[in-house]
Amino acid sequence: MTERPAILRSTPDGSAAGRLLRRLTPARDYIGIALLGAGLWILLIETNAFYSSVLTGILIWTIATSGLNIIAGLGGYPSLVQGAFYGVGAYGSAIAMQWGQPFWAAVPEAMVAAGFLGLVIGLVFSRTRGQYFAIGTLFSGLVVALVLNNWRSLTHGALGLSVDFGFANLDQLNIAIAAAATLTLALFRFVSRSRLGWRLLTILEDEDLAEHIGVPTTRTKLTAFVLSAAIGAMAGTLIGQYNGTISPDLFDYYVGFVMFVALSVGGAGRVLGPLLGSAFIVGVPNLLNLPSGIGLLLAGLIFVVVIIVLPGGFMSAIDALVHKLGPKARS
Amino acid sequence: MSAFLEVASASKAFGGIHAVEDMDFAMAEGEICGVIGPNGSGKTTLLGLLSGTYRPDRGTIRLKGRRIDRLSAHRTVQQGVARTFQTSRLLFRWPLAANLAAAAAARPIAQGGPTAEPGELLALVGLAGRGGAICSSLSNAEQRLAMVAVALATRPHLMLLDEPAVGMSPSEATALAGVIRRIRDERGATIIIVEHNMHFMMGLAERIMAMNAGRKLAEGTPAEIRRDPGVIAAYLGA
Repeated sequence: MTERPAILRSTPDGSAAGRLLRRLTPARDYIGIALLGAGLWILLIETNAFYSSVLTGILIWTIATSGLNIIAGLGGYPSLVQGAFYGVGAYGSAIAMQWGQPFWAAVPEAMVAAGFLGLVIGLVFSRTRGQYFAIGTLFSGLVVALVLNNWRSLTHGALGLSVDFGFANLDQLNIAIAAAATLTLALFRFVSRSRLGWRLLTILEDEDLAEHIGVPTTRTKLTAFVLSAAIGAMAGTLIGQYNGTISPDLFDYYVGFVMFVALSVGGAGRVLGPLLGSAFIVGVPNLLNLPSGIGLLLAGLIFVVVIIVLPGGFMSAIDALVHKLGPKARS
Repeated sequence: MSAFLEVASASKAFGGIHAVEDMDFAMAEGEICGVIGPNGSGKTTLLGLLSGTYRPDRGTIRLKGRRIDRLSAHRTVQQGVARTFQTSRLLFRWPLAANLAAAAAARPIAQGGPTAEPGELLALVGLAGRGGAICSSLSNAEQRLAMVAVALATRPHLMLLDEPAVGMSPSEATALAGVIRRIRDERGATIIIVEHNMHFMMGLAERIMAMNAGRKLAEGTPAEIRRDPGVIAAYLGA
């Protein structure tokens, strides 16, 4: 099941206790996300270089898949192009810095570029649904990968680019990565309970009906897609900073597919779904130090097993566990 | 003085099929009008044109003098037109109250019209106390009524009901007819009902429009329609 916005929790029960509980819920969620972020940051700086690099990969993927979570998790649109926005963020910020922009300006510039690309792809494919949308976005990702490989004057092709370091030291970068992941999770939590969020959930349920109860479905989908793209690009700017070099193979067309897999495995539509999914899809192969082909194979295997056993992803298993442990725990 | 609803030579074709052709009719505010006709006569397409599901290829549709035929469906809803569907359509995994809240939120209260208090709407359609139920767990008749309540939550001036009584028992259909009358009387909505169940229509609609092959065949009181030779021919295939 998807994370439900406040509107779905409205019950005929308007008791004072019920109202108070509802008012406390958002604060509790945001405090939880902040504590989780602080914990992840401590892990990032206290563990050895190997674990820290694995965790960095997980956190950056968490950002990218949280972006995807808006259009795919809330809206139910299986976008397979998130990897391309991730690439536009990495390349866009690296190129902007080569052109003399400071890092703090290059990040929003790359996000705007990806948002614009998202708008174009969204305008083309927003009339398609389901597998057709998936195929269309997968194709868009392929086009972006081809551009990164072949626009040599700008991207240096397969050789890739070296990325100027935008921070004073690695500690600052670690803070930025942990903070960006935390803020992205909080942003998703905010969006999921906002008007945009419940509108997307009506689209997830029945798009034609949503339109007939007054939801501007086309505009809602486009807004969500552009937001997803911009957040994906933010993740891309961070991978560029962390790696120091970027090359097209990091953003190949299947990356968007693997991001979709990570989201589904973790729990689409759920705040923590991207974190759990990234931990399994990026973290496990890296921890086991598997070659990337074998890692992908493992990711595929995890995907198939999870979709069969737990269609709602790992978050649904956690829900079931929490439900078993105590009826008073979160719903 | 322009009518509440004015449809002038509205036409819609799908491929080579003229689903609705040159429809002309007008409605006064507060009327209950029935639309009958054999399968494929264009009744549902007509509702689709009025509700913004489709845009007419030709012709105009005016609500209170304002053209609504070029609007997308959600903008038509904002102009005060709500529809239900032949098959039950709800946000099935959501509680009924959340369906109502979503529909109510889609049209700002500042635009006027009757209120959309969920409890009131549920009581009106006879589903009082069912707001907490997940829609997929409702019975067929309850889902039909819930769909009417969701449409009402958008605070429509014009309600378009597409075969609202489908799958209902005679007693459920009678109750639904009462609900529809109350929607007109208490909420001031003008109502168009597409229905196969002639018995249901005869007791409810003040005026009936019979369609055949996308065109208006006859129009009049239920008694007149029942006697109309063209209608009888279309129904009996003579």
